[in-house]
Amino acid sequence: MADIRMEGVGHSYDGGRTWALRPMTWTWRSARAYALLGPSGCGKTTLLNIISGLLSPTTGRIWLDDREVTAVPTAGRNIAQVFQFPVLYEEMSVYDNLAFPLRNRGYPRAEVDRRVREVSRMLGLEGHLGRRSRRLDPGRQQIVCLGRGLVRPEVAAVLLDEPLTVIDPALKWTLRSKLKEIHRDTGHTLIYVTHDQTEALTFADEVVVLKDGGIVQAGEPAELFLSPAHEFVGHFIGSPGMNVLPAEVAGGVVMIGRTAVGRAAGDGGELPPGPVRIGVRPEFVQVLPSTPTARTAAERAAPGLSARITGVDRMGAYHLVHARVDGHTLVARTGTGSRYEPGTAAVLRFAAGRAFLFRDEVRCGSITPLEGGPGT
Amino acid sequence: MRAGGIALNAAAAAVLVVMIFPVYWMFATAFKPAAEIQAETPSLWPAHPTLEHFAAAVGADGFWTFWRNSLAVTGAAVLLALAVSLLSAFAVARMRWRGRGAFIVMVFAAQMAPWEALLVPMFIIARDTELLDSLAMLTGVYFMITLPFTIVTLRGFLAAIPVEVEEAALVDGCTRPAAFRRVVFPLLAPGLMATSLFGFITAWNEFAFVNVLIIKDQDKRTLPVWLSSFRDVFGTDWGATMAAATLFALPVLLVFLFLQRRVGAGMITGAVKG
Repeated sequence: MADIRMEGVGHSYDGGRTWALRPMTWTWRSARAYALLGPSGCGKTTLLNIISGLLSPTTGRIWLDDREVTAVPTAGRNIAQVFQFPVLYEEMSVYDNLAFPLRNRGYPRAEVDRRVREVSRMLGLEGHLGRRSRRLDPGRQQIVCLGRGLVRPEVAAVLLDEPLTVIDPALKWTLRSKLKEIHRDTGHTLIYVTHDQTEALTFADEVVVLKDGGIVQAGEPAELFLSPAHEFVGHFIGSPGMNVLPAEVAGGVVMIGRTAVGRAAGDGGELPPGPVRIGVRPEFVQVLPSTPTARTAAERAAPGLSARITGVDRMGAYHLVHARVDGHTLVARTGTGSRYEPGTAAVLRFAAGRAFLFRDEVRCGSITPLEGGPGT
Repeated sequence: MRAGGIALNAAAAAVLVVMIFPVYWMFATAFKPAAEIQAETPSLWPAHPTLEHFAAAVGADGFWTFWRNSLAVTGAAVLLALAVSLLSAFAVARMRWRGRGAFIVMVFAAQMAPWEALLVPMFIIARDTELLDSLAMLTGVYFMITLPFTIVTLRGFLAAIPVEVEEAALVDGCTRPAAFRRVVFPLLAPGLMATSLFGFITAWNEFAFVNVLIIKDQDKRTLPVWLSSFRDVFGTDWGATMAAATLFALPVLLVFLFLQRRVGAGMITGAVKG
């Protein structure tokens, strides 16, 4: 196992006109489970192929601990990779597929057999070892591919490129838990590419969010959810995504239309006046009755933003309340006990410390309460 | 069975009879005595089977020489075409390089050009390079005839093999040549067999070039030319001709029977994904 260090690594498929992966410096730390999250075409697979050596980066250098591997071919890097769709050696049996990476590296026969049986037991393939791999169903074929990735004991990292796409949803959960278990037992560095946030958040120690070929935020799942550093992270993680409202900073106060919603606290000092966008997750928008008498004393003390309910989605375990504020739509997640009807007036408040300010999509600050104002 | 199914089966049976009958007639005639062949009422199968025509064919002047020539020329041309086309197909299907599009167009153009149009130029080239009556020249011509088809077909087969299979082999510790040899090559086997069979049939049956390029040295002739020698100014020895034709068709038939399953699979793959 080793730290994988990328220094200024970038890749362009068209001679530098556009970057599939913008030059980046980043270290994948040994023995951690990473999820690489991002929409299709954001450079996830390019990044994996550069790490495994299937692709030479247009620029930059890669290190495995202290050894530079930028020019080292794939076989010399000792990295395992599982592709999105089952890639099997169809002419071989399941056993031979699993043994292939070990035989290529000259492991003794007894060790090959021991490792193959161990991995097949781990993945529930014991009963299929003698079968031709092409005769298995696609889900099981992909499990064989996973097995091939996990069979080598001393890999620097296992790269998984959306490996569960072809697996049944029910089996997906089992396999993901299995992968976590294997990660715990073996201590392999895992980099798991996905565009499914649930997969990423439940699997990883650290989630790296990629957009347009660049890392926009990396952190623990909770950090990404509670404190998005980029509008994209707010949209991409969470269901539904973060609400975004245009606002203005004037005299240190954040205004939506003519309503002051809180004080602007810049991430790096005082925030210059001018337009900003407020990002707040539906989970942190509170919906209150518009008539003050219907509110508690504490709720009355913080009057909030006037809104009109436009719709309610009953999601089973919770409700999604859609409202319009100053011409903009906002979604709030409420308990199933809430009784808001479309067309009625309401008051909205943001949870303290959970509403953020963005400029050029990048977070620049947060909203702190105004004394007696709508932020709490 | 539905009416549509019956009609389709009947059509298939009709096609089968039309295709098989001439071959059957060749076999049957080869075993019939001369009187039976010449009889006014033709019989569907030999009443008194005989091997005398086979003896005549095998005993005819230079049979084994021509057989050896045919096998050598065909085998060499097919192997050469396979080796060159495999590399070309790999370059076309897997690599991006300047002039790749033009190369593909050129190969297609070469495949579309009628071979007969090349008879005279080839004769002049062979004459001027003193390669008339040379088996090497003939091998070169057959190689040239079969090459475009094999490149185009193998390219289709290679393109149908996902590049990820090679990448997986690289990740699993193979070098690039080893990945090709151990993982891609076995998957390519049906394609190689289909194309080699086509090349074999084409070169084995070829008559026009050998007739033009082998003029003086009779020992350099191949089986198709030899077959025509059974017909002379005094008429045709049909029995011997059919026996010779049977012996001539036998290798192709054996090769086809041997490769049949894989070739079938290969043709379907090539047709769908090629």
